[in-house]
Amino acid sequence: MNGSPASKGIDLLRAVPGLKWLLTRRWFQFAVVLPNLAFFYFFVIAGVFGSPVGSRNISIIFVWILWWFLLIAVMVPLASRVWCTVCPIPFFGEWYQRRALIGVRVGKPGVGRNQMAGFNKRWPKALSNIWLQNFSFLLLCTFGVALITRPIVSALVFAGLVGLATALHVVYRQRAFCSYVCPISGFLSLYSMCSFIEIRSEDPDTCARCTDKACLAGGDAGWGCPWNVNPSKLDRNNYCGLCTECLKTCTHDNMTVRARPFCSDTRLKGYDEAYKAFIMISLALAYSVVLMGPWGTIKDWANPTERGRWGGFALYASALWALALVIVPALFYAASRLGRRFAGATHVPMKEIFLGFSGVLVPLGLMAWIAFSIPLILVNGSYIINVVSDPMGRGWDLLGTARFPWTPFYPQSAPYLQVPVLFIGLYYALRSGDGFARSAFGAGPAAAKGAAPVAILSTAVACGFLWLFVG
Amino acid sequence: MKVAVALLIVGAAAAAGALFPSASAPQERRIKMTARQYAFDPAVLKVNKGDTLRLRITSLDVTHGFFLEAFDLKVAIIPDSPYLEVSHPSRPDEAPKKVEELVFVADKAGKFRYRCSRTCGSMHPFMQGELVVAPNRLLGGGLGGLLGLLFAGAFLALRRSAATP
Amino acid sequence: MISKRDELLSGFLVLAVLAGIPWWVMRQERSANAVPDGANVHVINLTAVADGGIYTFEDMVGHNYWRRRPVVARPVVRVGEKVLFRLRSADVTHGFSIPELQVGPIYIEPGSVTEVRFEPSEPGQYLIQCTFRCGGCHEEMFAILEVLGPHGEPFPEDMRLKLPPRVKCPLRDC
Repeated sequence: MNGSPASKGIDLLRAVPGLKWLLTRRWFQFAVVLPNLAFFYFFVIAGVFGSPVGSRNISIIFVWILWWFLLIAVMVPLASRVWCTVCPIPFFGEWYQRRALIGVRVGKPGVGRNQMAGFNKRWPKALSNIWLQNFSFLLLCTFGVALITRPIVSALVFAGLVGLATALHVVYRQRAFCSYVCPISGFLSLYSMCSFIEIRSEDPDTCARCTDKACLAGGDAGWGCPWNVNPSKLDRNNYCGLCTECLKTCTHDNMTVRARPFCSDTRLKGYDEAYKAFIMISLALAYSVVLMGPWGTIKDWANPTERGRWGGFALYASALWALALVIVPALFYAASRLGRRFAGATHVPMKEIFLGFSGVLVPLGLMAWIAFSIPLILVNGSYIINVVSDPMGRGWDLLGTARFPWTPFYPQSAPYLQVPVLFIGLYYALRSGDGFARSAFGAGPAAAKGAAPVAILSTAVACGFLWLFVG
Repeated sequence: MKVAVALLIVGAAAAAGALFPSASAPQERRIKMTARQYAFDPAVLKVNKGDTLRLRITSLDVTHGFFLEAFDLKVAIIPDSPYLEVSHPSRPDEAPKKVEELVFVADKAGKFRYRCSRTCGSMHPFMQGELVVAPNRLLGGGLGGLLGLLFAGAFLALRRSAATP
Repeated sequence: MISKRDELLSGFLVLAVLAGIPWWVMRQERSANAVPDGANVHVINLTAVADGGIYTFEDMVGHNYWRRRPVVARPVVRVGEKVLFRLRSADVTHGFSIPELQVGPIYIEPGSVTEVRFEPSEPGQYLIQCTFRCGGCHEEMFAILEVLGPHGEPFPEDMRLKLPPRVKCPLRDC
């Protein structure tokens, strides 16, 4: 069950005055990306030339406290992949490909009707999934402590991603980096399924009758979808980067932005997506234990470059990878298989059942990450105040707040916020499991029996997080 | 109607869960705690509401802090010093007091974290421990509520399948 | 549809950002480091580093802090000069004290600049020490302040300071 082209919802381009005008301006993407480019460029400078102390450096505070919290708790649930709309990482690569920042080129050589520079090679089919992103994100997070505490590491990773994206966009067509390599894109693709908004075609009949398919192939009014999804056939948020090109390109003005119920996209379509869900929930657990837990030994193990306990690190990394790639998938497989047996539907292929039930981890994982992020912002959010006055920790005082002391903001309220968030996660997880069970096992009692094992497993996972946060 | 029953199940389970935790009578506890990069030891303190805690905290390496949320306590732990410097975030203009042990009453129930409040290295923002004051009703209520959600879901699913021919 | 005007304008804005931000950073650094009455003051910038227990002239920032231990500073001043120490910490809170000259003890907090002024009156070598437990190398965290005569004359030999050899935290060769 996914938000289909004809899904219910509020057409935001009609409901919000001025929104359609704004999103159909050719300069819209440039206008929202440029300030972001300026910010992240400054963060790299601050990471390289600023104080090594994380809490006094804007590259740590604005990225891992402010941006991270806004991303997971606000941007993704409310606005899907809107981060991709404003992301500066592919900026230079795309400028090279398009040789334009605002306008559109038509002609050859290129992609579809658009003239594009570069080799325009097709991304290899074998890698046309999110497996690369699954492993790159898992690897990045295994070394996550160095990333979020050392400004130079954040700066180098960010600059590295820009360099990689630019190189890939010279060789491959369109947003190959964004679609198949970017570690952030991996989890955005999964959790955007829960978002309140979507870009879809307005009238599917118009699309059926359309012959030029400008949304995909491009045209005079806009570039063909740089994410290489077919906008007219979009039925999930996963791979739509909300770049708004199709809103401009469609010759029938048939693309729109809709508001829709929370977690409307529920179907996972491949093992790569299911594994993304397993990896993300395992990482939520790992981060909650390492960063938000009281256990110093595990913190030491996760911080080998400083503490030198490489043996412990090997243990921690192995446990994390085993959890994400073996244990959690095995538990969900077992629960799915058991459910299939209880439902008396052993004729249904296991792949379908496994992928269907793994979808429960999308809302549950998103809410677990949000719950994890709440104390992060409440406790460390005050660093934002001193860092805006002294972004590089060099003794500046731009706004007079450089000496603002560390002031946690009602940190004791965090558990009271985390509990309802986990509730919401479990509610949508149970709903997702139930919805899939009905579609796979029919509407009778078999559905309830089939959904039971995964429902119990989901509840156990939610209770585990609750105990970690509140117990 | 079904929804109302479902909500009732969740509410009842949450309430039952919240009432379940119990606590023993208040007592006095003397605790020796150490702070090091990047952990407190003991990392978890389980006490009862009303307990008087007397903490002697020493640092094993650099200067650390001890910020106990909800209790308005911020303490500097200086290595080689027999004294702790206690201040209160709500009264920032007051000079810190030098004490040999930190004394306070755990007059609130729930889970409270104590954190390092003096930059002591790269993992300083994650250097924390937990004070769990029984009865932890939020934990009980939360767990009860999540289980209630499961039962409510089962109830709704079974009622729906009973209605389906 | 390409509007040359749009592309030139947007391209210019990008270049303005790429050039403007470093320019702005350098301008802020200059103004933050500006010293009132700067012409008459001898400004000495020192950074305290916990790993190795070192006071250094080197600017310890993202790209060099984790690479290697910096060189220990040996500040040299003259009798009668107005000296301004601008002190930074690259990691944790350090202390700073020149006991024989009644300078400090003061704290150097990471992420801000601590200033201390004094006027030396006697030539010699004086001990700078860290007065705030900053790590494993704290007990060996010393530096030498050299005060020459008012016209640069060397200090008397009996004012030479010998620091205890470093055992726990050896320094790299200059």
